[in-house]
Amino acid sequence: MFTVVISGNVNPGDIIANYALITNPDGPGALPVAPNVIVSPSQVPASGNKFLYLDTMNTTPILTRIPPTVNTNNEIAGLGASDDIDISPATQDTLTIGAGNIPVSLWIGRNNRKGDRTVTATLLYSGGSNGTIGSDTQTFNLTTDGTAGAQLVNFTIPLASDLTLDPGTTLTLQINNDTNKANRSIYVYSTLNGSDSAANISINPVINVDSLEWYDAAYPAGTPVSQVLPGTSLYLRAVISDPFGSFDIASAHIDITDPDIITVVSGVPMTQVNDSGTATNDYA
Amino acid sequence: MSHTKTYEYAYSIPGAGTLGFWDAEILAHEGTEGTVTDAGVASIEVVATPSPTLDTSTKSVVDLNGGDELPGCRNEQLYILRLRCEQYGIPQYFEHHGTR
Repeated sequence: MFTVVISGNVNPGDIIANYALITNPDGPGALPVAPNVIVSPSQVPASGNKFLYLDTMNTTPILTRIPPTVNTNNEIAGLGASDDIDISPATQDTLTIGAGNIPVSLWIGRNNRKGDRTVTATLLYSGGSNGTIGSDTQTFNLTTDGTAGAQLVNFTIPLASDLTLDPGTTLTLQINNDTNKANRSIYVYSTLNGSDSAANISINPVINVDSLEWYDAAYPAGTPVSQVLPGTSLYLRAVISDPFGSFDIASAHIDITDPDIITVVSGVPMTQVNDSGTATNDYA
Repeated sequence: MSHTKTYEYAYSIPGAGTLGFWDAEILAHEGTEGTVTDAGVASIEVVATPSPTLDTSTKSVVDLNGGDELPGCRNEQLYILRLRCEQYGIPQYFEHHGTR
């Protein structure tokens, strides 16, 4: 037996061959070979940021993971009028919003009296879990009406500590026009000048490979196998999850490396064979 | 809740494929921004095809009527043929009863 200590300077997926050259001055040497070691990805679920875009502002405003393809807008009158923009669908699995500042950028314009506008953006959640994440208020001056004078207003909503939300939670962006004068409405636009109105939220997990196994038959048949003979037909099967819903899982690609550390399959798209739910239809 | 997708990729280990551990790594992509991924790995061991062998090292003919010491039997005599087969070093025994 020989022990190998792997350097910390490796990346997930790296393959490390193990062999020992034994020199025996008094007899024959040897070259024992151990199975390759493949460096596993972290078992800690992947975290990252999810943008929640504003869309269909002229009909039923929603927060969505799909960027808007056309600009739409919604008018919010002054004197404290507000609009609640809900995510659709609700969250599908437990997730944690990371502590820190949550940036919210909104394209805001006017269609009547020029001058200052005071707007508050608040993030709320309801359903599986209920509460308020936080809010921020910005005052800015709109001199020109319509899209030409619209500004990308940046809000920063603080979250003091990690917040875990149960499945079935609806996130809501509430926009209040707190301008304290009559006839000071605002328009909130979904996308202008190549950038989108959106909240940028740190989520954990953001996407997760729940399992990857070799099967002896195509989905849904077969059982996992760990040892086969040359010439065997196999099926690599992966289950991937996303707390916002399966619709937010975009694709999966596979690499296969043989025992000589030769890549025989590189970056090939896998075929989707199952979608767990109807949430996909909400964005079809 | 509706939060999983299952993906599959068919792959045949070549007939002359190298023996040892074959490794697969998946990269799962999220959203439309192309900024977040998660990875997973799985290995499978390819082992040598065993050579099928038939070991007939034990073979006997029993004369149930007794008297005959020759390794055979006469007409109308019962016989038992025992076979010992060995595959992958594991023996199996078979017995056949018949009448000549």
